Amino acid sequence: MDLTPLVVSFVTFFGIYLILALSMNLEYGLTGLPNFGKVFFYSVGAYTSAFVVSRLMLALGGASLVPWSAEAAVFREELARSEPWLAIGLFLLCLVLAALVGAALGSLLSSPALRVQDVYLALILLVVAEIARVYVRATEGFIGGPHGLGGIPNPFRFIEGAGPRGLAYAGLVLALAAGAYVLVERITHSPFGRLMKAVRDDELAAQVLGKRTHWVKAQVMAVGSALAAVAGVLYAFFTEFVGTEDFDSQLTFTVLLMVILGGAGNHRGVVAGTLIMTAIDRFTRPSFLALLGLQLPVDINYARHALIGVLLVLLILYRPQGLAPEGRVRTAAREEVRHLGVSS
Amino acid sequence: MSLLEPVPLLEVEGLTKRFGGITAVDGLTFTVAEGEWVGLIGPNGSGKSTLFSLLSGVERPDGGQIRFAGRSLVGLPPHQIARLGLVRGFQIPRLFSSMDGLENMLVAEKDHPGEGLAAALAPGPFVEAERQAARRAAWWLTAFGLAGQAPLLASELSGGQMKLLETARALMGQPRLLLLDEPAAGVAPALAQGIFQKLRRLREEQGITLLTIEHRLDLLFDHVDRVLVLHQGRLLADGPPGAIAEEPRVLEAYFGTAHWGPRREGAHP
Ligand SMILES: Nc1ncnc2c1ncn2[C@@H]1O[C@H](COP(=O)(O)OP(=O)(O)O)[C@@H](O)[C@H]1O
Ligand SMILES: [Mg+2]
Repeated sequence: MDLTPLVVSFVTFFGIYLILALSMNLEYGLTGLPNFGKVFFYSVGAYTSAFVVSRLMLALGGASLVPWSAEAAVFREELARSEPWLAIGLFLLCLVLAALVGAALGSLLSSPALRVQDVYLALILLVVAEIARVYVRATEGFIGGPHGLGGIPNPFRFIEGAGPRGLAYAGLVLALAAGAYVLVERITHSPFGRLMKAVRDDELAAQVLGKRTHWVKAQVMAVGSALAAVAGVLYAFFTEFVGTEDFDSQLTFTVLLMVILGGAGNHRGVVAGTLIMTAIDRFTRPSFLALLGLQLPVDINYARHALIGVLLVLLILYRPQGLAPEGRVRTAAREEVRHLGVSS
Repeated sequence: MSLLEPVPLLEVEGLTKRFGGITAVDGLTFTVAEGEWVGLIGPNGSGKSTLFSLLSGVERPDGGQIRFAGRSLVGLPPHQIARLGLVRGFQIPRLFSSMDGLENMLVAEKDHPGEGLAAALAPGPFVEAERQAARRAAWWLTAFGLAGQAPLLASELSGGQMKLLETARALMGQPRLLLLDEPAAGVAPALAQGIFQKLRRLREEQGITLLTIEHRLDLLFDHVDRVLVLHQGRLLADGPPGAIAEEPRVLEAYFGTAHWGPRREGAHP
């Protein structure tokens, strides 16, 4: 049996989920910002890709087709196969654009945090995500609208054979996830990271020490949302399709659970949490099990919810702080005053 | 005010704050000169902590003026007021509970050039600033006898240590005017005297201006230049400690009797 599709699916989803979870850890775990609209910023990345690719490829290829038509999708797939650099260039363009759009929307949507408490911020973001999804689903012509939009060609279209192509893409996703890990680690172990935690622990105390806490939140939301949008780009180019059903708010809570399971504030813990959740997520999907040649007589989808529920209960009972404790902020300060016994 | 007198560092005029039906601060007018140490006393609920919140921008006044170093503070957000040099402590310490003593101190570093997001990505040029902040933090921690607490989480400290750490942290913020709300509350009597000695030395060495709330009048009166007495949000008396201790209205308001009864601390929430 060829396990390549299975490996590709698992690794790609792990990488995408990891980027989402790390961004959530930055926002919620370290800064205390409950971004319950995570899936919205993820969809921003996916839809930016769909928009850019569907229009630009037709324009560059000189085809006057309806962007969301089946013929246009086929045209794009063919163009990507014959013009590798065009496909790769467009993919990179989408990554950059999505990150910028995500950052702008993230900092914009952090502004309710100036006025309302965390619970309300969480609700506002959740509602934004739901409204956006419902709006797209109901709007014919908005980047595929209710039907979705296909033909977002994998940048490695030029590689013959789904197996090698998938592996190349999975490797790329994993590399970007590693980059995201390095980024969030750097931010966390810096004076800025220390300030993020201070905002989380006691925002007013940080303010009366002269810290512009709203600006800290806006910047964290910008970085977190840029990362989520990048994850959305990776998703769109993997499935080569965007549709509203993939951007249900349930994903936000799955990602939140990865963070809580791993240990809010600890990125290494979040990697472990993401691995566990990705395994649960993948192995309870009929389409994934089919790759193993398994066809179950029951609807395995329900097992996912049951497993997550059991996990949550166990977590609350035995390890409410998650798998890994948070740890200290490591900066040059620690070695400077090592004599105080603070080096850790 | 005569022309010979310097412009006060802090000028408060007609300051008023209402919470629903309660007027917590009621038309307060007073000044604090640069380098002065002023004590603030008054029975429970007389508006002392509310006054601090108004001065630090945590609460907005319903009326009146606050001028600090010639600038109006009313309407400024707390972080701007702090950056002008007015730093406050809280009656109940507000530490960063999941962070250790060192981290609590470092957050207070004023105008840290390495505290931005860009500096997090390229820390190289800012390492020296961070090291310098660490040395200052260690100095203050040692000065307050907290060197051993530097590696401990703030939530692991005793109540007295929390109070000390909050005071040290406020000083780390390089205040020009420091507002302390019962800095010796919950601290052993011997240590309380030590804190006030330390504050006195700081004032002499660094010229910090202090406004301090304290219930242990004996302790306070030993150190301050002047005492403000609040009663029901109003200024009841303003004068040197010696005169205040003799003032019948103060004794009346504070103890309900016109003599120094057995010394009690206002049973404070
Ligand atoms: N946030 C608030 N909301 C409502 N009432 C308050 C608030 N803060 C203080 N008060 C009331 O204002 C009065 C003054 O309180 P406070 O300034 O804490 O006094 P003190 O510090 O002198 O004990 C009290 O009656 C108190 O109940
Ligand atoms: Mg008080």
